[in-house]
Amino acid sequence: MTSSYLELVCPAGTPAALRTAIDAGADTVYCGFRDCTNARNYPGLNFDQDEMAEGVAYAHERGRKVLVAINTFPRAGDEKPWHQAVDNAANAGADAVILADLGVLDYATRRHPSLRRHLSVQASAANALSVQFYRDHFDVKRVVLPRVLSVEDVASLIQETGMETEVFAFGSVGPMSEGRCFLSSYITGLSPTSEGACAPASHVAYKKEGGCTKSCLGNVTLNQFGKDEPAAYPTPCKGRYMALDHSSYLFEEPIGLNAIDILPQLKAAGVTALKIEGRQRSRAYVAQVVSAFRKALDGLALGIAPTVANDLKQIAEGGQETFGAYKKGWR
Amino acid sequence: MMRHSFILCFPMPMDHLPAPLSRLALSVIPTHLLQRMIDLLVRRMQQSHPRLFQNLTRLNAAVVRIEPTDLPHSFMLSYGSGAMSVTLVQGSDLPCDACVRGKLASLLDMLEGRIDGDMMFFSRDIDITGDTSAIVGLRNTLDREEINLLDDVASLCGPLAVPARKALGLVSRVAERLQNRLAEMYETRHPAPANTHKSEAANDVLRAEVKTLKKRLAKFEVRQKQREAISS
Repeated sequence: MTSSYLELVCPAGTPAALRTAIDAGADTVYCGFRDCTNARNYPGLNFDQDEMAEGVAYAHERGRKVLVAINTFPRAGDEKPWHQAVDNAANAGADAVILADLGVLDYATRRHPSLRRHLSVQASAANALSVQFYRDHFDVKRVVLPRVLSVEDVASLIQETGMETEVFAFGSVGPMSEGRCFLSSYITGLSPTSEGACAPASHVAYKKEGGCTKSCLGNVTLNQFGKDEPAAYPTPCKGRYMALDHSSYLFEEPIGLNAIDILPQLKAAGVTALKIEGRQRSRAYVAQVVSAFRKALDGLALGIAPTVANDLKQIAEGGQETFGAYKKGWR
Repeated sequence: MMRHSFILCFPMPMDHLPAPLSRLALSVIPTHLLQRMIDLLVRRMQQSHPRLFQNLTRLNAAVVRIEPTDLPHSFMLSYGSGAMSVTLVQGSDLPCDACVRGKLASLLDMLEGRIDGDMMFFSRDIDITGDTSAIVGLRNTLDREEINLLDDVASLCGPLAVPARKALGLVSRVAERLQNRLAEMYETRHPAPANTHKSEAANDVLRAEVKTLKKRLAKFEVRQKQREAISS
């Protein structure tokens, strides 16, 4: 199931960001409830039930959609918050829920069969067998693909499965097996996949030492930045570690994914929707990124290659950009 | 914030409280008077942004020091557990849970949702220390609300809010122009020594871009030759 129109799916960490995203040209907005059921469970972020219903109404009045991310994994014997979140999303009139856990998918399929189900990137379904499994067992309509596939990989997966796909267009590079990364929990004791926060703010500290700033998670120093050196998020995957007497970013450099220059290739690959990451970012970020992608997509729909000034570099992590796995230049 | 200053150079309707005017006011008004004005502004904002205050009370109690690096004062923001207050302080030895430092213009841009806090963090334009969850909670809670300080300050004038807003806009434009003129005069008389660090950094970036472009060009040339070979 592919479409010639690329749907722009945008983040909203707050009701104000939802309105900003829609006003800036988002086709669809995704957001989550204010608890551990979504993978951006940070203080002050997310929606309560009333705010969700208001957000859905705001979007629907303007012909746009709202997807609710319920994409963490329930703790054994404590499924209720996740079931409640699915019920609340349905009651709020959400257009779809974005799920990752098998049990939550099963619950949603049985209790709300008419509520559209998308597979979260947290399920890490990166091959045809996996995608078909979720489609066949839970009637999943769309899969959000992990950021480990090249454009050619994406095209062949779509061809093989015939599934609607949503791919990341802007945000983190995310080379890890998403939904299965436990680096942060080794340090904090809190699981990102159940608590909804990788490197929870309660365990992060920045310390000044001389002219440098140290970022620490728990009692582990992750990084040290010189006065004018770009900073990175305080997550273990973006730490700078010593190996063979040399310090380097072993897992991932502080660099942002930006696919705005390869939109024609993604469209040609049969992608249905583009996802902008950043529910934890401000509405200023949402306005800037969504506007840039809207302009590029409108140009693409008219058959014009994206020629918008790509000034998103400064807002990307570390002030740098890459195509990530879409173009595996290291091969 | 060059971008900010540049925008303000134009005679446009002022839709936000400009940093130079705020900086001037916060620097010259006596502390006790300023504190009274802040108390009034907080009370006004409680009326105009009830949801903001409701959301602040949902956070864990914390005291965050907001430290504009270009002002003689700092602001101790106390929130959570049902109470909220802003206290003007001088010096930085009072205990707090967390601290945010940056230029006033950057802090105002963040407060009013014009600029992304993470971007300011990546570029090191703001600095944070202490309890990160207090800062993240505060930042996210403020970003939920569409705040316009110019409107809130003008509304303190009651029925004269509209003319006050216009007057603030006029004064701020004059202050901005004056500041730009002064900056130009200063630059003319004191040609700035080249910021070798930054220009070196810029050169590095340009060198890296040229290197990347050369690589891409080489790849294109190889592909072109392959295509030509195939077609011939």
